Amino acid sequence: MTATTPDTSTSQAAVAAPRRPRHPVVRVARLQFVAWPYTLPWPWGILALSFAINLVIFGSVDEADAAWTGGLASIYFVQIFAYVQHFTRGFPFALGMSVTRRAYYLGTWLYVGLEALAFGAVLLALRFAESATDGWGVSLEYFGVRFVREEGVALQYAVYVVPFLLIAAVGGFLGVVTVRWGGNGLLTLMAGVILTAGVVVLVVGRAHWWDSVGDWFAGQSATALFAGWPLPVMVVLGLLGYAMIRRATP
Amino acid sequence: MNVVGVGRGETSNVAEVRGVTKTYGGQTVLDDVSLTVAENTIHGLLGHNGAGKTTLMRVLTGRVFAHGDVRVFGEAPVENDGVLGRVCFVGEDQRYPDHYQVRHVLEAAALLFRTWDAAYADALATDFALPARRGVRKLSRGMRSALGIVVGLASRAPLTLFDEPHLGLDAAFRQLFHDRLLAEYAEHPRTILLSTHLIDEVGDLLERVTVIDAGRIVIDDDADDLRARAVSVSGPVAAVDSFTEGREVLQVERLTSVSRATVAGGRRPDDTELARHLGVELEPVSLQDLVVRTTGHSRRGALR
Amino acid sequence: MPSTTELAAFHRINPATAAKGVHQLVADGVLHKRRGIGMFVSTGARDRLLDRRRSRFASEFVQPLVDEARKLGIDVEELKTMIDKTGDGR
Repeated sequence: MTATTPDTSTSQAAVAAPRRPRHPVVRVARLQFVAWPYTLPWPWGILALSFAINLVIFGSVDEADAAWTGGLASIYFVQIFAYVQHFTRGFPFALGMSVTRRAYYLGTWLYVGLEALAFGAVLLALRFAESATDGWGVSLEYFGVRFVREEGVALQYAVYVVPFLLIAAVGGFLGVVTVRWGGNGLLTLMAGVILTAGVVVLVVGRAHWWDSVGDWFAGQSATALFAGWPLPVMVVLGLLGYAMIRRATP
Repeated sequence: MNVVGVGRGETSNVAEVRGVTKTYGGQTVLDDVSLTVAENTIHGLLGHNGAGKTTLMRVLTGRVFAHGDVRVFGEAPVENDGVLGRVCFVGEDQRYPDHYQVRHVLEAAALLFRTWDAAYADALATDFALPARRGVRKLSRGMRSALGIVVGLASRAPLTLFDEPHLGLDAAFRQLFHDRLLAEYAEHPRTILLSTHLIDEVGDLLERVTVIDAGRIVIDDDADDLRARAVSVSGPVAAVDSFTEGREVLQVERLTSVSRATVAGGRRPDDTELARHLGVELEPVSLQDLVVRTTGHSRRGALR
Repeated sequence: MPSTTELAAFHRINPATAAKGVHQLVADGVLHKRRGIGMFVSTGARDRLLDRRRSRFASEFVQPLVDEARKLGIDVEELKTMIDKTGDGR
């Protein structure tokens, strides 16, 4: 494979051609940055809006208790759409531009990983700012997540990053199912999941295991919940998705 | 590169397809198709809608999986970055991310095609009146085709496939496309596979012609040889029958006492004399007529 | 002579077809190649071409003219008058 595009332009081209990475997987990751001003502002814009609303409310009401409103969830929620669309929109596009399925899959996950790390870092920084300003001066706990307040920075960072990755794994999986089997495939999957969930709930209820389940969850350490369990789930979904996308023909 | 010498002397074949069959549900879209695409030719893939042109192109680019042997640049194209890196497929149903503008498509192309020429792409986009900041969702069918053409030409990919690139383009832009295509081909030769049902418009551009009908290859020949080989004979039924005796007749049309036959085998030296003697008229057959008369509707005698 | 590429672009045809045309003309002795310089029209080519067309004039133009006239019921004398008139008109 040759290196970057040879410079054949003699005029000052209006669109400066980006440098072309050597490896196809890296190229795909770089591809996800194209038109970023039209994608990245969405999750952050909505987060900013949610934050602003919270700030105004807390500023106007005299609340002695610092409370966590859960508004932070908004950014994770919005990201679901982005993750799904990487596969329902981005994948057919890339296939049409001579990208292999393998390169697209791996390259997109590389990008998603980097994005999650970056997003997490920003959220963590905002959390520090929040602590330093004593809840933005109005005791608003927006970015801080209570139950890990006493833990180390690494874990606090993981608390921000891992949900992105987990949601990406699920969203991406749904996206691949859709691309591979269409809307019908997705509905079948949903039906299957609901059915299985229903059976599980029934069995657990019958055997009066709910308390045990509750205890077990409560007993899990923050580390296990954020650095332990999500990993096998992500790996399984990732591998399944890979197997599926290899046969997808959108 | 494999050298499978076929008719063009020392040039090699960029793509080879042998015994390819593809079925969707119960329908056979490609039926035991075999074809070679020689290096540095403008190769036309002709046939009416639904004949299998798009599917064949998708098989060549690893977009769909089919039975049979497919080789592009000597290897199977499916999931093969080495091969696909040298291929550009401009499909008629190419989808772009919703938030993309024209300039983002070109930026993405610059990233993904090794031989992309950004200055050339800009010049083409201007020629085709494509506004750089127009969202892809807001492009008309013609502009989408134009965008595809810009990507296809500026990619400089050694194997470039255009699938029905003319959709929605008015006559002036179609002409522009052909002019740019010829100019580019002359200066930077590459292998071009072009599928269309607008045969007469591209006829002169083609060096090689492959006609597909209902998933089968019915014609696969040098364009000039093909043009020279078929003759249209028209006149009184008996006279035409006389003339066509002992010759390969591709198709006959009849209207009361007059008939018109398309005859293969080319013009013989005394044909002019014979034609005058029998009272029939000889005319050359355009590629379009040749395709229409040997495929689909006319052959089956059905009225569309 | 313009280059094959220029010819192809001008006539809007595939360069391979243009090349075949040029080779045919070379084979016919109408064009010749001067190494390193290009294609040139051969001396006497014009005259040769005219001669060739003259010898085919009878069968290509006159015979069809007579045939068509016969079909329309115009006899040879009428035809000759027409030719004279048209010839004078020029």
